[in-house]
Amino acid sequence: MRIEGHRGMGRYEPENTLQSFARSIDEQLDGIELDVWLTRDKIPVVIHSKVIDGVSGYITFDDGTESNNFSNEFGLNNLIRTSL
Amino acid sequence: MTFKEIRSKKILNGNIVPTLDEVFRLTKDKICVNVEFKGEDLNGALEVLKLCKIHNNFEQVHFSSFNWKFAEALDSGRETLNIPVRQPFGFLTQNMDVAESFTIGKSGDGVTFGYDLIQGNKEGFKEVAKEIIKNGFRPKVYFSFKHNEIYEDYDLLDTFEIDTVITNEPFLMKRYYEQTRAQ
Repeated sequence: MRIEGHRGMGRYEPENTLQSFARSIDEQLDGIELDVWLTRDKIPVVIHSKVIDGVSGYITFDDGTESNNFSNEFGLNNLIRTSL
Repeated sequence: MTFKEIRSKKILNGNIVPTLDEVFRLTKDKICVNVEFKGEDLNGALEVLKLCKIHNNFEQVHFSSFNWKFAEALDSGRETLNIPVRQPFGFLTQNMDVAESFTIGKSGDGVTFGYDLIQGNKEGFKEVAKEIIKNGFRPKVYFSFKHNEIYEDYDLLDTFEIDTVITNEPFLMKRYYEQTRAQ
């Protein structure tokens, strides 16, 4: 059975970051899973959800909850729709 | 958002949102990458294939999405870019009705289930997994962050012929397999 790290190192590093992917390589996982959105100017970027609050560093959802980027999983329907 | 806008934002621990190009540079010849397409913009398929072509990492990268239209967009993108290699696609699903994936996909593709779905219908999944394998596809499983993985979860997955597990607990899972192999 192959082991893929969820968004890199799962709970152990900030998800979908180079830091997390680099550690997955160091830990010799079989693979990594990551999330890709296309920006408005057609650059593929690696992030799970579409909204970033630059001030708090947290991702904010339309039900008022925030993700600390470690432990929350939300469906697309919960996300604020933006142009990204 | 444009790239410039998203790049100006800081995420946890001072990290910035990476581009897929940067990830491909980091991972080249080092680790397999499962690119999950998000959203509705199918142009993403072509843009990602362009990057695979630049990095020549076709053997290392495979794809997945809850939006199965990306499978067809990738086929179309390969044709546009004259890419002879067909990288496997994982059909992410929130139910056990997977028959349509067999008509869209090709042998070697995956069908990927959330673990909670399996846990709630073990017997049903057993039959579905057999059907997937019979069609030349590979059953895969992902754990959500809401679920706290324990050894009993891996015991359950061991009863099926799961090809790949997407885990939030890579250390726990590696320990589990080291221990079970040693027994």
